[in-house]
Amino acid sequence: MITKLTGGTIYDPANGVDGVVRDIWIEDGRIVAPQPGANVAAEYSLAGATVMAGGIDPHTHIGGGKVNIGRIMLPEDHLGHEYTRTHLTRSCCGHAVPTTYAAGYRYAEMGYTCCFEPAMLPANARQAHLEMGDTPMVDKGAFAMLGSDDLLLRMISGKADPSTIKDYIAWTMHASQAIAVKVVNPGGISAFKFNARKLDLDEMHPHYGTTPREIILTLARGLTELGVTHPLHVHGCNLGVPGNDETTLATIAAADGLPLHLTHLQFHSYGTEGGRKFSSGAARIAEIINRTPNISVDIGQVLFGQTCTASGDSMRQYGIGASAFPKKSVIMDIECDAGCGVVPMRYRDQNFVNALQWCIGLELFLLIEDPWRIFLTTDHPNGAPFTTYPHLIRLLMDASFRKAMLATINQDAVAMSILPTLKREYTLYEIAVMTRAGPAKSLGLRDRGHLGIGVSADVTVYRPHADKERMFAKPEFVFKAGDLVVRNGEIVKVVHGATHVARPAFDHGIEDVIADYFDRFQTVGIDSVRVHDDEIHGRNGGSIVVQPTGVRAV
Amino acid sequence: MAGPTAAAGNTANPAPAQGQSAGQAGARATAAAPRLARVTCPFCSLLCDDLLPVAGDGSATQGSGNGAGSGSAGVPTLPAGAGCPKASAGFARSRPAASPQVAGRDVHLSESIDAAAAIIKAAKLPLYGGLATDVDGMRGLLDLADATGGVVDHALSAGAFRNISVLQSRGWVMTTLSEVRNRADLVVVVGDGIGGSYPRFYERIAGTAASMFGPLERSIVLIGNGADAALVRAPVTIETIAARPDGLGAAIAALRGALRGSPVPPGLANAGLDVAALTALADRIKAAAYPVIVWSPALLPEADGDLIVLSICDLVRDLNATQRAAGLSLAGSEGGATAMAVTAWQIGYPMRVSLATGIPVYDPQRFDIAAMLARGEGGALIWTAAIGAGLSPPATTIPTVAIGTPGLVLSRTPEVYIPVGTPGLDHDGDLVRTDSVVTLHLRGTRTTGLPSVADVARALAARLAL
Repeated sequence: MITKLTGGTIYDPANGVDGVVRDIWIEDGRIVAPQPGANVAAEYSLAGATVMAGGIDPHTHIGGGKVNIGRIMLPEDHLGHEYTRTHLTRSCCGHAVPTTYAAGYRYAEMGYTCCFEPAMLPANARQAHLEMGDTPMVDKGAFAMLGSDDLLLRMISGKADPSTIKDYIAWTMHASQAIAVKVVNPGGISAFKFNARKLDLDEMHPHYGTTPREIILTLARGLTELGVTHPLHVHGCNLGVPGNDETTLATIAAADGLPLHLTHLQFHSYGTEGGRKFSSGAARIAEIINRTPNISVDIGQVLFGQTCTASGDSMRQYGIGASAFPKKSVIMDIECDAGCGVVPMRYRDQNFVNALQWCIGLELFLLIEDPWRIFLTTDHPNGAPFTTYPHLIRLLMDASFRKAMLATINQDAVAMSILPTLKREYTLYEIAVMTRAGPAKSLGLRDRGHLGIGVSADVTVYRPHADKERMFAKPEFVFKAGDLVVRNGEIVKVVHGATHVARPAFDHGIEDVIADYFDRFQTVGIDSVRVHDDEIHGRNGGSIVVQPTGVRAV
Repeated sequence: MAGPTAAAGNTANPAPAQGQSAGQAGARATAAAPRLARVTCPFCSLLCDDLLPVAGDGSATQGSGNGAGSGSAGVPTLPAGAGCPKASAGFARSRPAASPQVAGRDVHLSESIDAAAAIIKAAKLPLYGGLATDVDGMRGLLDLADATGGVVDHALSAGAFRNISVLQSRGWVMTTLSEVRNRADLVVVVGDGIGGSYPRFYERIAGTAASMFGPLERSIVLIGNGADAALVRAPVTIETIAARPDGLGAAIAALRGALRGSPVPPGLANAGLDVAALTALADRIKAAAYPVIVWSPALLPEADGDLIVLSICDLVRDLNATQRAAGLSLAGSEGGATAMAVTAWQIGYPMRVSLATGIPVYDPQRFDIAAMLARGEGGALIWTAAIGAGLSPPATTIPTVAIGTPGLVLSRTPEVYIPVGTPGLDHDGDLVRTDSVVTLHLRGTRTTGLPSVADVARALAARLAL
């Protein structure tokens, strides 16, 4: 059965297509070469429409224990954000911490077809995949958290062979069904359990003696040598602490050519200048990033309103507890594996710090030049709920709108920012890179994020509008694997996406090491930790897509 | 800073010689026989996964197609020295041959599904209670509840809400089982009964002697009547500070006061509390590296259980200003933790939510199914109890569909009875552990022919053309 999308204006940066009017031919869920004369079962006339691949969110907290803690803790988040059951869709609710159904539906309505949970604890991997299994419409995947797990810290401090450590990293990716690895406050989540309240890049862990720098380099080098496409995904030290711009610069320098992805960079770009000792470090950081090609970033933009911070960084989440709004929070130490912290937050435009955070994120967006190395995120829900992406896109594409917004926020903050001087406006092509082609390439999704022959027919069609928020909020059509799933911003068909994983090679001897460790010290055995393929298949016919990894270097 | 221990070097295999795999190089890697597949126990929310299959067959008892009961063959054994009456009783329970029934009459499964569907369809407000099942069972039941506009509440939610109310108003600092096992040098148990409800808690979690950080000098102090002290075996010992159930709140208050250095109100000493012991405990808490306060919300007194939980959580939060400390709640057996997790991620609220108006509406007072039944609300009760046989549906005259493990105690004959398998015995299933972080995947090995709760829910949905 052939579907033809006729006459749309295509933005497909992975294939160098910048605003070319072209037809798209779809058969059996994939984009195929044009077949003039073939029997077309369904044709959509897209004259004048803007066409991109389905959106890809490389960092969004959509599945796992900490999000669920947020849901239970915040019934007030759901009030007023309920969605009535329809013949197609389940009733659901939530704004900053939506239910899994709400998350899937809202993402699809916005034209996204792929979402990645960035902070999956291996101890909690099963729950993460169960929640993602109940997230309809979109493809998904997750990054396994390593770096505060006692087993890795024992290996590093015990000077284990790098090959052993790589085996452990690879095993963890298999067992937790991950596509990438993330490190959160390297060693810091563990150090907090020993009553450390901070851990700088070169500070020694109170028990293991290893430093965050060592942990980052061990994991980054390991992943590169394993052939995993996505670089180590780094939530760096000192999140949210004024002066952490220096930490970020030192972390970039430490990479020394190794690929590294710095996540929610906005939260790590704070200086200490000015009367309130809080300033923007964005300009310096952007300048270094522009000339350090091994570094990619996502921003984690703060937008005003009520949201909830949810993070594996128990140390820093404990640190911000006094700012909780409403005044409640959860901190957990988890399974000698990691931790978490869930702290609701309201960002206010008249608050100096929040307004400057808003400026800093936008400064980073506008100063970092290569859209292939920067991804659009709000670190949902930490900076803002993902439903704010269209508003964010408008801020990036429309300098006059930005200027109007600047006039409404705390002016002391504006005075500390160079944002008023930044006139850059993102083009549609650059937006397509930042929200589709770039994340797909970075994560190693071979058949997503572009519109070339053979890829999954995940296609989003927008009606151009001068108001870019309106344009991106309500796509005219969204196709997922060739099925029309959304029309004019409303779900017309419910589908279930695939789970993307990466499976680097490892020596199975590591399993005896891990099994022994679990038997001696943990409260589950190794068999319970592994999430088996049949567990993901069992739900809604969930398929697994194993994305390629490179050849392992030793 | 303690240096890395020698154990760290052992855990990581020594560097393999050129060309050798890590597996060949390490002696540890080649030691011992192939590991036996383990069995995970569903009979309390510790979900111990170290049970060993019975030597020899390791698996199923054969049952006839219509759900004949399983005998005592195939009962997994616990590791040597461990004793758990719940596991033994749960696995060995001789489940009577059970057929689906309509009005007490044996029928084919399809007829029972028809009858149940008719009851649900006719009910103005179906109540989905019990909810003692696994993740897939909950998914099926929530699909049904959403489609039929029902109310969702777990059988044991009264205890759970003593925690939920604190989580929703204040939050907390909590830890998980492996952390307690390795890190807690002082475990303070508040209230009695944990040894009975979670029989291996002391042996597996609180009473272990060796941790990954080396030998651990751990103390366990129980505030209560101390009955648990008799349940532990050397080298585990439990010190008791006497307190009656109605004195637990005062005991925690005294502890908080002592931690702050406040003078103890005279009334507390008069209430029979050992104030000196509590003051001494406060000093030990302050000196501990990782004190953990443990409670079971269901075992706390009904009257002020939630205030005791609040007090404990505030105490723990106070401590974290200068030292690390955490709470641990033991709860969620009979699928309670599972029901709460799945309802929260699918519907947004932990329990006691109504879908009758087409959107999720949360009201812990109003949508308490036990209270609704007592008030005469609800058009039908769909009660699921697939794990323990004692989780009986509340007495009610409204039409009742009981989806239960064979042998489920019933106070009257329900309008429809559908026997189902138990996750971890009869079929595979996921269950959430007490600390709400770890989910275990249980494998069923017995072939009884009983459908799972998920199967029944799916059949009901199909029959209702949902």
